[in-house]
Amino acid sequence: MILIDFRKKLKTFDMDVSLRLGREITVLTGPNGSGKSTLLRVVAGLVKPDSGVIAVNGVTYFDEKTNLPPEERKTGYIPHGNSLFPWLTVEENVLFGLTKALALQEEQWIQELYSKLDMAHLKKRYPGTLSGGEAQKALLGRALVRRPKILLLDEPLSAVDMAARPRIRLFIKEVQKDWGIPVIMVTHDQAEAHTMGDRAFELFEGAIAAVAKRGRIIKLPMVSY
Amino acid sequence: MKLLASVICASFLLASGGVAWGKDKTIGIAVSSNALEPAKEISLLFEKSSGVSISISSGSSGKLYAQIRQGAPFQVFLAADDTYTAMLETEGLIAADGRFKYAKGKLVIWRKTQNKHAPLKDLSFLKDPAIKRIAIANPDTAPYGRAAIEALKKSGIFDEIKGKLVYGESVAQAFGFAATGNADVSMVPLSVVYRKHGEYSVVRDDYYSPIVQEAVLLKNASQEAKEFFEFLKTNEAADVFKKYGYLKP
Amino acid sequence: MDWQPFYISFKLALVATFFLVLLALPVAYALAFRNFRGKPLAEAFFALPIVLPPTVLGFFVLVAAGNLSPVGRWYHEIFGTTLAFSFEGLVVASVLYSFPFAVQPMQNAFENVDKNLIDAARTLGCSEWRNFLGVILPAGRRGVVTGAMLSFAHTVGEFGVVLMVGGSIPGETKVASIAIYEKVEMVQYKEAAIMAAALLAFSFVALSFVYYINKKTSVPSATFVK
Repeated sequence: MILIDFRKKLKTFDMDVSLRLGREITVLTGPNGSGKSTLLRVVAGLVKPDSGVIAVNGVTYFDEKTNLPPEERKTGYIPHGNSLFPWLTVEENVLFGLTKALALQEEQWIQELYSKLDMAHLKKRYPGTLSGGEAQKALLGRALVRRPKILLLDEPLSAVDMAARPRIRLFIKEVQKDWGIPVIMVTHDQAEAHTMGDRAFELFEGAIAAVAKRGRIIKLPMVSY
Repeated sequence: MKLLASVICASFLLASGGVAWGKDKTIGIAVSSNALEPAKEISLLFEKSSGVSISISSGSSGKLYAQIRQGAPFQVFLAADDTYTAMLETEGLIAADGRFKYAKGKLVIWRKTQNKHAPLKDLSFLKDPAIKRIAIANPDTAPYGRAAIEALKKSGIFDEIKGKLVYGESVAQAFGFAATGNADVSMVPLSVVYRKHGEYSVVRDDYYSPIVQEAVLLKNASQEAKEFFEFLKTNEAADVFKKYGYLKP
Repeated sequence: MDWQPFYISFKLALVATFFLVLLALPVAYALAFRNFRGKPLAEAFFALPIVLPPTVLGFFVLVAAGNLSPVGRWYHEIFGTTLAFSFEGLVVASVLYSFPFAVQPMQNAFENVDKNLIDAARTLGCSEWRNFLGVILPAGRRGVVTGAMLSFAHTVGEFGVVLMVGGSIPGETKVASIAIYEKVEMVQYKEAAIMAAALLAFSFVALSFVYYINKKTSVPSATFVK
């Protein structure tokens, strides 16, 4: 159970969001600057709301008394664009979030991720030499290696070439299904919202403008943008 | 580009204007640091009687010499000794009859605070471990620095205290080191410590070879500069030098 | 020809650069990432040595180091010697004098580190300290190298401050620029020219070396290959 209920004053509008999500894939759509990315960053702990409650699986991330720093939240946040550390290899990137001891302990899990993502051959490569799809795999691997309680993806497919997209989509679905990790992803792509989302929300100027359940997502009353 | 050109033109105009202005009304003179104070007083006297204004640049003799050789617009040069003036003469940079001895300097040892250490009687008190730093002008470039080294050697304490020596770029800086409390004492000409707080004692004059200070009239000198140069030879000017502790050469 | 002043200059630049990098890193980090009241004042303060003539800075140091100032007396009490006219004094003066040249490239580089990298690292469990060592420092290392390089170059080229506080003690505070100045004053123009040429050549070689290293350590940009 994920509770995202907060208010936050922004420059051009005030955000006021109240969501209850299950272990499913939630898609956020909406025009540029409607607050989609901010929502993800609030959950990750990178933006502090003015008031409200953020809780994931019974762990309170934020309320009047608590404000867990991002490093203690166990979220798998993948910001928009390429956030791989360019001076590290893919393998070093993937292991970045683990201590040496933890990396040894999680050896099996790491191998599972490599094979599931089909990226074992990328280990020694540097991010500058990867295609968009390969980079996205590495980013997912780096976020998942820490066994996050929630995966927060900001336009994960925008830089991935068309041919590679289905595979990444499938993988994200499997993450949710096989490992039970809830996913919140931001997208501009209606088709993607349709194929991926169990539920979809459309944001407009910081508030939920429309909601859709599985199968009816395509009928979202999209604001033109 | 146009802007750049006009800026360059303007600066040339300013520069040439400055030089022309200097030739008409103002005499530029170069004065060795040790003689700055008396030179200022003499200039005032001259300005009052002649109506010509004088602009003084001071520094170490070596630096002023280098500047003169590179064409600095000085017309009279009051040096700290007679070596630089002799060099200027051999290089043909001074006017006919343009060289004379204006003073003989006195070396003193000075400190800011009184009655704190041993009395300033002779130089042997410098051996006192309470005295950590002795400031003198750079002996390679300043005649008074050279004289200080000579006096320290003659008094037989040089080897013991040479680790305490620090070197100012000029006598003025050597004095400054002691005045700011970074050095305990400084060895400088009497003229520098004249009217300054602190205490001094004169170093025996048989401890160092006499420092005969020469003035020269440079080749480009104007009529006014010649008059000033002659004024330096008058009793009026000599009295000022005497007041600041210089001897007659 | 006495080459000791070159050795002193080199040693001074090396030691000063070490301390400059050590002190400038936290300051640059704070200026880049922290918002606090009076930050513009702090930035202006740290930039002061760019504007102040070296002689003014040297004069401040000289007065502060003298036994008339509390700082000077305190130093004397602890170390039993004066700060002026010592190699240590030159290091202190050089650190003050070159501080903005170390801080500003670092601050710039830190400010330009891709925020996504910092955010990603924080959600990957990095404390602020690990974030600094593991992300900001490697991502901004060109700025750090540039800051160190400018510190080194600026210290080799230092003159006014050393002239004010050094006391030209051979083997201790007589650096190359001072030695050249004295040669000119001694009318030994030939020696002055040789030493000046040597300083020029040394500076050029040192700078080329650093630019070469800087180029080698640069990383291909992190954009996607489409």
